[in-house]
Amino acid sequence: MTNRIHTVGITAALSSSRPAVLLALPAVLLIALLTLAAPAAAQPPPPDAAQQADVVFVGRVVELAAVADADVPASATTAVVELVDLMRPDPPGVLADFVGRKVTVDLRDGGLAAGDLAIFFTRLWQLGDGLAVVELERRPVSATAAAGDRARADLAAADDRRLAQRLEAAELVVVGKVVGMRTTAAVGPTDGRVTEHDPEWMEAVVEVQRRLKGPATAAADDQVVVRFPGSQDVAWRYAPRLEIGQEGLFLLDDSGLISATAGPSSERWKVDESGQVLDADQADRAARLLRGQ
Amino acid sequence: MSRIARSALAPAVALAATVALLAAGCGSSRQAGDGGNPDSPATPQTSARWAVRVIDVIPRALSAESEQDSEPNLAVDPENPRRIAASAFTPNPLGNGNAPIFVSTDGGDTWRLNPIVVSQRMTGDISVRFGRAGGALYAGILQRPGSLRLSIQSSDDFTGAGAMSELVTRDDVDQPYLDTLTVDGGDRVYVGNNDLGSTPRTATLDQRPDGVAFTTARVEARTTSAQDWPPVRPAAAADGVVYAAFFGRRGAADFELVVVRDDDGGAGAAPFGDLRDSDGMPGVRVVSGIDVPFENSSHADFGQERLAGSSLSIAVDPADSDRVCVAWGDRRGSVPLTLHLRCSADAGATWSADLRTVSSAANPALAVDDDGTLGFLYQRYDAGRDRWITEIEMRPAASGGDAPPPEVLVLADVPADRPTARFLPYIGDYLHLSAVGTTFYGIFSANNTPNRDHFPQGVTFQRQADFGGRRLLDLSGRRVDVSIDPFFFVLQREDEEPGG
Repeated sequence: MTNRIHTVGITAALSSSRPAVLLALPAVLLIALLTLAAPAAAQPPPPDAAQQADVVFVGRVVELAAVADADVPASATTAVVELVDLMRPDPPGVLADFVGRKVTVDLRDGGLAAGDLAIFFTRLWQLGDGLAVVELERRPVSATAAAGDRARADLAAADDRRLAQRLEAAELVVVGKVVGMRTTAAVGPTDGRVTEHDPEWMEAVVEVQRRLKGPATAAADDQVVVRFPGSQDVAWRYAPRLEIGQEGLFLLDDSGLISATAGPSSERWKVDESGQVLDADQADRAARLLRGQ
Repeated sequence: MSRIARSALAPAVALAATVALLAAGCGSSRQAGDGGNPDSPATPQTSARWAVRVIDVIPRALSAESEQDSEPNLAVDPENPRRIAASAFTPNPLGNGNAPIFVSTDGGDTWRLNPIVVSQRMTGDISVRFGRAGGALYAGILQRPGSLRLSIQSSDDFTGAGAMSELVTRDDVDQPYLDTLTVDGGDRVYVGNNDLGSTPRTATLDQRPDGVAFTTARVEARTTSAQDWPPVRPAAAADGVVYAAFFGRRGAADFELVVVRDDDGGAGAAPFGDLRDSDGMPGVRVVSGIDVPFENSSHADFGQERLAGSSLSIAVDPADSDRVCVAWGDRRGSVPLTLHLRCSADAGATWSADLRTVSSAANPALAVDDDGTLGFLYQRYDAGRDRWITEIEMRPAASGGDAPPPEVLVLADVPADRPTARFLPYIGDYLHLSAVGTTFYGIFSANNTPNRDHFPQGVTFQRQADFGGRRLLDLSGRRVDVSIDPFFFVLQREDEEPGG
């Protein structure tokens, strides 16, 4: 309900504040001149809109109840929108070629007219000949305020929230360096069961340089043993692969495993998902987030 | 042959009937053109009987991608074969969000990506099927994050933006493989899987025999050596008969290929007990004492692929559920994997000898069309040329006398040494073939170099490709590395419309 009220509010504001002169400007000049802002009366998008959106862009409505590509099903809620400026993904990757092109947006509600500009928070629907997205939230564009920067700040804050959630889930967060490598005798959770998806755990010895979260160890040299999948199987396609000399910020889970070799309690950590080993220069950011800032 | 009639047959009579039907039907052992040698196929050729379309599934908008889109699967809507879904190890191109499938609404001529599968970024194993009526799409996947989390999902609108609904989730499950059947408007769903949470008898079917509620059927009745092997493949016939095939593990290198059957769609207190072997146990052993190798590493002598014990397929004749065929891979001598094809004409009670063997090959897939023609798809590694060759053999049913000779069509003949494998499987632990009416639809993964010599039946790329320069290009004209793509294909009789 809150979302719906909010959207109606900014839609009304957009309708009343849209400067007609801007519609006549070339898109490139438009981007240069525009500062993007929500009207003062508008609420910020719900906390998860910026986090959930995987395609965020400034767009200009070309046609309502239409689609940009014939293979996308048209409906009363679809609209053709010119993608003026792409804000996410950053870098744009496979979407780079869509800047300046018409895309299909499945709008969550009405209130737009041809020529309207808005920031669209969306998620991917279809990629074929063209691009189709589903709208999660929308912010009107104003020439007088500075919320283009604010939108980008919201996206950055969303990235921070995502990292903060990962930090919260981790039991041990350290900055360190891989100083040794040893394999295990495969006493992981598969426990001898034969599956092509077995992680085939490897063990890396990580020298802790800075401990941001988690219990201290009794080990004098402050090392932890970190398991990571050695398997080439697709299940571990994006798992971190540790190498001797690698430095980083390690977000460690309790492996729940019994080490193949008798060892101290430090031997109980693992990384098996992308995002669990970050560049070491993320340490200060992580520390700030762990402090709740 | 009715269920009652078959159950009343004496074994000797059943065997005689099997031999007679095999000679005339789903694979004569007297293969014209092969001199009777089951390891000698007919000469590869362009077919006079079949019109073939091969299409690289990667959409134009993804021209810059160079992913390893291996282990493809395919679902064709039986009510409207223009509606097709395909899957592979294809990540969400934005790096997050749900896993994508490929969708087509024009019979496979054009494809687009639709990220509706509930799994982070991509799936582990995945297979997809439509219900036989009503248009719902089902997926059996291993869900991410995680490695062995089964998720069975469905969507009433596979081109829509809504995420699929999760019907079943369970941990410690491997290689879900789907088939469906629709009875009185209800979609029966069968998901063969290797349930490592039920050791030592792990061969399992998660099934929805009443079209409403899922149950779990354990289909291994015999003693195993710790567990069964990964593939458990279901095949459902329109009359409600459902088969499943799996590798029962009896020792370290001692396996049996077992086929079970349920004549009532898996309903009842003891499902899949309708086919019993001489030991009185459920499940007929098609072959015993075979070695099904499991070596989870890239093999230089097998085109960078691994040996995951997963080369297994079963298909049932849609017009006669007594006619059923299996194809599997096992190790023979120094050859990593040899495929075998056998058929039964008495609902799995007795089986032929090998109707065909293919040396150094993987990924068998079978389908039978409404005319009784058997399609046998596989990928053969040519060690001398270091190539992966994707072939399909069409084995027509007999009409009165001997069956016509099988035709072998080469769909792709591509380098096996590039690209370098990024993960395993390189091209897949399985692929898929299906038939709707008298049209065959299939999918395989292969090196995507835009070279017409690699695709003897012709090929269409949606992604940007310079066939003259044999280069892939992004939408800005920059060169893109060669990778593994899924290739959809259709075999249509020359005088018929798709789905005909």
